[in-house]
Amino acid sequence: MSPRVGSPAMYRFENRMLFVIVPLYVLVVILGISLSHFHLHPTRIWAVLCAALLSSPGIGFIFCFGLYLSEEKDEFQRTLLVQSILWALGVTICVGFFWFALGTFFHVPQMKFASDEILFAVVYAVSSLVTRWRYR
Amino acid sequence: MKNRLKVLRAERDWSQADLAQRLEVSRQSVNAIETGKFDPSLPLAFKLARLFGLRIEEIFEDSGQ
Repeated sequence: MSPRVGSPAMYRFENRMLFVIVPLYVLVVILGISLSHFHLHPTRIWAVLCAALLSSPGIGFIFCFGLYLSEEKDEFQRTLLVQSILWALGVTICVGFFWFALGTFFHVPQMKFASDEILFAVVYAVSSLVTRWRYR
Repeated sequence: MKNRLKVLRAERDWSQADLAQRLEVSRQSVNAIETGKFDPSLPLAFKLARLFGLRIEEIFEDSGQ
């Protein structure tokens, strides 16, 4: 009997992340750099479209998590993912709260585009590794 | 929660991977349950009980008692 390394749901989740979310991130970074480099300030419908595109990786990220949680049959693997997401959400929200509060007293730079999404992704990656190491 | 999974598995000469295959979960899940780091849900506990032909309380020890 061969041991099961990853569940089918996990493979699908990884594929979605690799082939949808990561390219979206690249597109968003290119768009963000282009907008700031050429000093472009889209208005009206273009501004809405740009905002939708800039936020799409984060929204896609969360959508993929939801899809995985509904597909995964292994309850322990689901628990690991939920723990990692809670860490990522917690740290992102705490940093956001702190930065906003800091802005009340000092002149702090506004958080750049997708910085919260990048922070979320980095903390998720770290917490995912730590959580799996704990239960190795 | 303490359990007798390791003993029951050894009696049948099953590895963690064998048990994981039979339960349709990952080996990591079996290891977490066996070491008491993760408590399985009722459906999974019943599945374990059926697999070993025992009652749930014969596998898991209620630490509250």
